[in-house]
Formats: sequence, structure tokens, C-alpha cells
Amino acid sequence: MSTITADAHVHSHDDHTHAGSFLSTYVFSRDHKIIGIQFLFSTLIWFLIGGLLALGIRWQLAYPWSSMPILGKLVYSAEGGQIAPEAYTMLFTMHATVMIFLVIIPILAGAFGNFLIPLMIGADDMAFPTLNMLSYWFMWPAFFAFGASFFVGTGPASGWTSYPPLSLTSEAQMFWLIGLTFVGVSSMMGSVNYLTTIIQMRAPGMTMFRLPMTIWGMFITAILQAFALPVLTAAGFMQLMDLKLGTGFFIPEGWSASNSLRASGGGQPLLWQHLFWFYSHPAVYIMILPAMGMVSDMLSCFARKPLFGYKPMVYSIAGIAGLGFIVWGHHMFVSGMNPVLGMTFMVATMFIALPSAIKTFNWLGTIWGSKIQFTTPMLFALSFVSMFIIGGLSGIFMAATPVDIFIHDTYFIVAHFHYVLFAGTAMAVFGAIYFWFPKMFGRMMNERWGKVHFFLTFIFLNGVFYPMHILGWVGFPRRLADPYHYETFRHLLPLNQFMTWCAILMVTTQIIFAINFFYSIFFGPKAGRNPWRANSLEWQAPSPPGHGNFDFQPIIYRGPYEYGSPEVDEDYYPQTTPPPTDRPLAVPAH
Amino acid sequence: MSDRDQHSEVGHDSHEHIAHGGNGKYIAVFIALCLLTMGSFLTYFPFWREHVPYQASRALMLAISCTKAMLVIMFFMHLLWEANWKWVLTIPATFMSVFLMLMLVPDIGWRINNGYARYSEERWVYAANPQKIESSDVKAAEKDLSREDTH
Amino acid sequence: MSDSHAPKFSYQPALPIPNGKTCLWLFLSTEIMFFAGLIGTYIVLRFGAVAWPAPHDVHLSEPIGAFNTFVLICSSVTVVLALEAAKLNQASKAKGWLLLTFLLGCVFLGVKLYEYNAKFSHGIYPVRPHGLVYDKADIHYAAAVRKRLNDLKTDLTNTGAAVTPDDQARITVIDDVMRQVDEAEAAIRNEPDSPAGVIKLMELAYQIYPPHDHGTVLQAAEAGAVPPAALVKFAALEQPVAGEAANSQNAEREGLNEKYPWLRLPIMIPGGPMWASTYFLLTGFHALHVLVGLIVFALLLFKTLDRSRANVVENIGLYWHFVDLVWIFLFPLLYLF
Ligand SMILES: [Cu+2]
Repeated sequence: MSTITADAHVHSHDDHTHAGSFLSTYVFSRDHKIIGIQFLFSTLIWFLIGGLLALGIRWQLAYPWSSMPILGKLVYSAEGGQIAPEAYTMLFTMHATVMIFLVIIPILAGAFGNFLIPLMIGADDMAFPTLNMLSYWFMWPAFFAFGASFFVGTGPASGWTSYPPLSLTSEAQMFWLIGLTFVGVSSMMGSVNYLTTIIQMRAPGMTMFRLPMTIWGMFITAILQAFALPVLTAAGFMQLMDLKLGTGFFIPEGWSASNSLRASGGGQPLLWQHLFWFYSHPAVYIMILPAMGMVSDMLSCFARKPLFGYKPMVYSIAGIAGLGFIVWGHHMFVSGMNPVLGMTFMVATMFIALPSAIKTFNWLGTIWGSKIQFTTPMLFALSFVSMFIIGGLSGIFMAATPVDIFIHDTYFIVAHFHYVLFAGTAMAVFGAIYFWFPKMFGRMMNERWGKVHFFLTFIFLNGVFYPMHILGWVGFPRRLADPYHYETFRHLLPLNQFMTWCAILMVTTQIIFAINFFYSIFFGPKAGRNPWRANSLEWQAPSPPGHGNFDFQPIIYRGPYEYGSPEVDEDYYPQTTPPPTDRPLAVPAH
Repeated sequence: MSDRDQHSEVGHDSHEHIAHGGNGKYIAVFIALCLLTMGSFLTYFPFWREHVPYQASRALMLAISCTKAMLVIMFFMHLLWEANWKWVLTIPATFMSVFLMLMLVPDIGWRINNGYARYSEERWVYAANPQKIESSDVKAAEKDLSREDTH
Repeated sequence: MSDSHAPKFSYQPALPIPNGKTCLWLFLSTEIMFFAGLIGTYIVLRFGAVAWPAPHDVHLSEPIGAFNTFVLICSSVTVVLALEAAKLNQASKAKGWLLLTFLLGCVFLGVKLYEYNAKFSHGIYPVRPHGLVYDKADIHYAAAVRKRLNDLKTDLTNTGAAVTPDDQARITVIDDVMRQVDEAEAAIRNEPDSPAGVIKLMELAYQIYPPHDHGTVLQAAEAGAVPPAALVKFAALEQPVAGEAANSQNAEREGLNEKYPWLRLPIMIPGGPMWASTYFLLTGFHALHVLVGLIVFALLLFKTLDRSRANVVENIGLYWHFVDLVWIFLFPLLYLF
């Protein structure tokens, strides 16, 4: 609180230092663009780490108990490169933790939210630049805490959901919880800042219903974070106290671990699940709504058509978010939760299919009958839509209690959330990087290698994740170091080996992206202000935008999706172009 | 969020509500808050506890707390004089916090006796103080005792 | 945008309030959810608990709580008066009210510390791996009592110096309690199916730390939540207490821990550990918020609180009212329910 008041009233005084030192310009920068790019680089590094953790999991599933090549020798030299069961548990716990808390959430809200919000609404910066800087630097204690947790004992090994009482047996869990708290504080600071900025700092004429879908996605996401995260923070504190101070919020009666003294007890393990999922279900929308927004913008731009059904798109995002708050119990159907609640949560969850379907059909409506420009970002956006349909439909299976009882904790759920989060969000993020790269760095990425990157990633991701549906349907359990211990699953080994090789190739493919990315930062062809001939406001600013973002006062005349307007000759009609007055046809100013 | 086109500039002091009756209203609210606090504190006295069932006391205390909260929000936090934006923030927050607590209740708060799932025999073994004792040992004692005796 | 900032561009804000206030209200809604999580936890754990200690069992004083409520209400008024003064550009008056608010906040925290001390001095606090408070008198409790007694005795006898009469008196007390522990454990060991041993342990526990009030358990019993079998035991334990109470009306039985403060034996309070967990969680986080408010007040006291700072005073005032609001709900929930 103190920070916020202080920020509001102290830091808005000084104007942003133009010729600062390297430290104040690139490290402790208060410029939203630099902070966004800082978030981007940090999260991409964690993306690599998370991907390598996933390869460890895949290796064990394909060649159980065999020595893992290269990395195994390095990390598990004592075991001769073999992944021990505890290590396997740590691998999937940290894979999920890293990907969710250190990659997807910060790359969407932190990187793209920071970079795009002021540019797209016509502000010179965020409402509270110092708060914004702090929201990035609060990620670092989290980076260190999560990083340190790898080295405590065998690492956190109770899943990213950290269910007590299992989670209370591990010392590494303390670091994990501290990391979680810092991510929470960072997100909270970011979200109140984004909300204030979007509510209060839109350019004249930029009404709420002229905002690009990206901003709507970020806006609703920030609301979700503001309302849901505090509950997880509270629960995290409680678990930390159970772990370190001897309270018993989540410790059941008569529980003791590894022959230790019996803990005080009287608590409710189910309470943690409730509080955790009260955040973590909305969190799955935090992880996809901004991606939906960015995909909507890319689809409309490269279809050269207005977005189909703009307002229904906005309302369905809001509907998804609203419903998202009352469905958390669908993660707890088999937890011993009151069955009466199960019914409520099931029905509410099914309802989410409705706004999701509205969005899907509107995306299809947008590209319907258009002359699609198959650029790299467009390919990624199209794959988002198709993969989201697969991931969304498999979600409905699990929303139904009777079906969920059968497929709960099998690979079906793993398939579901990887289709939504990797094939969905991560692909949208790749697309967004290709799309906004010119605005971030002033240069274009290589289109041809971009397409190679896209097609290889697309093929391999389906190779990895599609067979998981089949595995899940025959009951292949997740979170088990050696499912082949059971006779019934032994025939699935070849399929798992195929998936593992796809995963290895998919990670290898990302080298193409990395080279393209770094090469283009320095040697890519220079991009003008508006290389994609897009409408929205950020494309009217210089590339990359300087301090204060715009070299003119942005005044908005229309929504961001006026492609192929009959009023102008061009097939696009930027938001800032004044409408033709006396002359029949006005030439766009920029 | 409404789709407003107004180009309203944010004033230095957005609410010119010095006309809302001076500081007198704050003193009035203060007295009301003190009286209400006394109201819930009444339940502390043995006389009250003997004559009013505890469920009624609890309902009263909750009602008083909500009234006090409304007074603080409306007058001290000036929401009474704010524009319509106040609803946008306060209603979702109130709804969600109440909803969270309500959804926790059927699952855990009623575990002891929620109408269809009683605290299981096994859980009694691990429960705090009132322990389950082998029924054979207490059959006889049970007959002597009615609930009134325990008062 | 915000007042003194020369804006580079003009904007069209949706809300007719400054950015700082917008942000603060958003922050307050996140705080509402934070405390909703905490209070929800309390409600669930408390009403889901089989037994819950009465206030006097855990040295919780309702009048002190009521006094603290009064202090917070006063501070809410003073901070709003400070805002009004600042709006009228009466800087010194505003500072006076703010100083008063600051002092009232300090009083609140001081009283809170006094209350905490009352619990700490009786060993009522969560501690890892196990504090002094036990839920029930079982073998774990007996083992803890035995361990404490052994530790005390070793300290007394292993000093090397001659045993003073004072020490001898202490050793007698220790041996006396130890004998009871032995008896109870023997009873449990020899007749595991009979409640006799447990009842012996209960009696010992009540000697160490006599119960003040069984109200909550009896309420649960009335509601049919406690099986008759468990009530039998209670009845057995209530009888001697009731008899004594008849003899001397206000005779508060003095426990061993109070009689011999050096003993500090583990105590049994049904529901006590969970009570301590939730009490310190809720009041602790509330006190933390009070502390943050006080720090901001202290910083503000060094500034001139004229009209240009009315916005700051308003924002910190809003935050302070929110802290008051939380206490409005915590007071009845924690003290009077
Ligand atoms: Cu969910």
C-alpha cells in the first residue's frame, strides 16, 4: 500500500530520465518497453529450462531407468545418469512450476502486457512506472527461490499443486512457497498498474469498445489476477506456517510424517485444494485470455478483414473470466469433496464451453472468405485456433464428473492442458513475438526460417501431445516414475518412445527460432512504422518507439479492425487517421 | 466499464463534497459505531448469554458488523458521494469474497454433521478432546446419563 | 494525469478520480480477497472443529478486544478529520489529526502486544515441531509431559552443587506429577480397551491446566455432533468440577502451571492448537497491515499536509479505513463468537 501511494504521488513528478546511465536505462528502467523486453528475455530463458526439465520426464517415460544421455551424466552423475524416482517427481513438479509461474504468466502479462498496453491505448507509459519496475524486480527473488529449491534435498516433489500433507514433508517446499509468494506480489503489482493504466490513460477517442482485443485480454486477465491471486498468497502463507511455524491449517488429525513427532493437526487438507484452485482455475484463463486477444488481432490483420463480432468477443472474454471464478471445484471431483458441490461445479464448468465456442466461431468468421496472408504470425495464430479447439473439447470431457472419475490423473489431462497451454498459448506467444518483433526492435524477423520453425514445431507438438489422449484413455497414469511397473501399460512403451523423440526434435527446432531471434535483433531488415499495414495504435508509433512512445498526440477515430473499409483506398484504416471530411477520399496520414 | 466518450479532466480534488454537512456527520457516524460496538459487546455479559441463544447472538453480531462496515465504507471512505464507478469495484469484490466463503462451508464447515455425512467414527478417534470410547465400556454409564446432567 | 505531472498526452479517463486513488481502490479489492481467504479459513476450521476453546481457556479478554475496537474507530475518525482539514488547506490542523491517528494506531499495536504476551506467557502459540498446547490427552501428550519433567529433573539434579531445600521442593512436585503420568500410562498399557487410562490422563491435564469453560463442547453435544460415548467421559470429568464450584462459588481452580510457573508443562486445550493457528494468523496479518499504515503515517508527518497533499491523505485514509473494516469483522469472530 505504501508503495502504491508513494508511487502515485512521488514518481509521477519526475519526468523519465532520457540520458541516464546504462543501469538506469536498461537495468533499473522504468520505461514500460524496456521492462517488457526484460520480462521477455527472462521468461525465454526459463522457457528453455522448463523445456529441458520436460525432456528429462520424457526420457524416463521412454527409456525407464536407463542412463539419460548428455544431461543425465551432468546432473545425475552419482546415479550414472539414471533418473531416480524422487528426481522424476521433482522434474514434473518443477517443469510445471517453471512453465506456469515463470514462463507463461510473466510472458503474457509481464512481457506483452507491459510492452503493448501503453502503446495500444496511446499512453506515454504505465500509470506508475516505478511500481512497474518493482513488479519486474520482484520476479528475481522468485527466480532465486525457485532456482534454490532445486538444490534442497531432492527438490520440491509434490507437484505444482503442492497438496498438503505430502508437500509438508519436504524442506525444499519452503523455497518453492517463497518463490510463489514473490510471483504473487509481482503479479499483483503488475495487475493494479495495468488496470489503472487501461482505465485512466487511454488516448482521446479510445473508448473501451475501441480497444484492441489484446488489451481486452490483458484487462480481464489483470482483473483475474487482482481478485484471485491474493487468495493463493494467503494460502501460501498458511502452508509456509504449517511447514515452519508449527500451525496446522492443512494438517489432518493424527498425521505424522517419516516417524517425526505428530503434528498438531485439526486442519483440513481439502481447504488447501479449495484455496489453491480458487486461484489456479482463474489462472488457466490468465494463461490464455491474453493469447486469445493477441490471436484475434493477428487474425484480423492478416485476413485483412474486420474482426467478426467484436462485442461478442469482448463479452465472451468477460464471461469466461466471470464463470472462471465459480468452477474451481472441477479439479477436486475425486478429492472427497462434497458431491453436492461437484454437481454445481460441473454445470458451471460446462457453461464455459459457450463463450469459448463464441470466440472460436468468431475467429472462423473472421478468416471466412478472406484472402489470408500466410505470414509466420498468421500461421501461429491459425494453429492456435485449431489447437485450442482440440484442447477445449477435451476439457469438456473432464468437466463431466462421471467421465472425470475415470480419466482423472491420467495422461488425458496432460494432453488437455498441453493442447491449451503449449499448442495454444505458447504458439500464440511465438506468433506474437514474430508479429511485434519489428515494434520491439525495429527490425523484421526472417520469414522463411520463421515458417520452417512453425511447421516443424507444429508437427512435433502434435507428435508429442496427440498420443497422450490415447494413453489417457487406456488409463496411463501421470506423475508416476515407472508406469510400466504395471503389466497393462507395457505395450505403450513404443508409443512413448515415439512421443519422446518428437519432444526432443521439438526442443531442437527451437534452435532455429533462437538463431532467427538474435540474428534479427542485429541484422534483420529494418522495419518501418507499420510493416504489417495494421490498424492499431502501436503501429503508428516509431519502431522501436522512443521515450514517451508517440511523436504525436494520438487521437482515435475508430476501432482497430477497419480493414478493407470502403472509405479509403488502402485496405487498412489506422485508428488515428482522421475520417474524410469534405474530400471524398482521404489519404492516410501515416 | 462503460463506454464513455466524455473528455473529463481529472480534477485536483474530484469530489467537492465539503457541502456534505461538515465534520458533524463524522462525529455522528463515530457515535453510531461506538453504540453498535457496545451492541455486539453486550453478548459478552453472562446475563445475555443466559437468556439469548448463541445462534441469535451470532446473527446479531454479524448484522452489527455489516452495519458498521457499511457506515465506514459509506461515510469514512466517501463511497456515498462517489460516482457510479464505486459499484464496479465493490460489488464484484464483495460477491467473490462471500462466494468463496460460502463454497467452503458445505465441504468442510459442515463435516461434523451436515445432514448426510457425519463425522465418521474413525475421525472421532483422531479428533480433539471428546474421544470415542469403546461402546461396551460405557453402555452402562450411558444409561445413567442424560444430556441435561452435563450442564 | 496525476496532479503535478505535466502530461505528455491528453487522455480520456473512465473514472473521475486520480490515478492514485484508482490504484488504491484496486489494491483494496485485492486485499478484500486476501482477507476473505483468511477469514474463510477461520470459519471453516473453527466450525469444522470438534472442540474450540472458550476465550478464557486461551486467555483471550473480550473487554480488551472491545477497547481495541474503540481505539481503531477513533483512529478512523481522526484520519478522516485530517483529510477534511487538508482539503481546507489547514496544514497544521491536518497534521495534528494525523499525529493523533498515528498515536491511536500505536495504542492498538501496544494493546495487541500485551494480548500476545498473555498468550505467549502461558505457552499458547504454535511452534515447530510442537508447542506446549495439545489437542487431547493421549499418549503423545503423556510422552511430552514426561519429557518435560525429565528435562526439569536433570537440570535440577545435574548441577553438581548441593540440592537446596528449594530444589528439593521442586523435585517433589516433579516426582508427584511423574507418578501420575506413570499411573496413567500403565493403565493405558494394561487395559487398552478401557477409558480408565485416558480419564487419568485427562485428570492430570486438568490439574496442569484446568478448563475454564466447556461451553463450546457442550454446544456441539447439544447439536448432536458429539456421540454419547464421548459425552460420558465429559460428564465424569465435569462432576468434580461442579462439586467444587458448589462449595466455593468463585473458586477459580489454579493449575500446576500457574502455581509453579517454572514447570511449563505441556497443556491440553481441546481445539487449542488450531485456535492458536487461526488467531495468530488473522490478528498477525491485521497487525502487519496496521504497522504498514503507521509507517506511512510516520513518513507523512514530515510533510506539509496542505491541499496539494490531500490526495495522499485520502489514499492512506482509505487504506486505514479498510484496516479498521477488517477489524470490525475480526473482533466478533475472534472474541465474541
Ligand atoms: Cu480448472
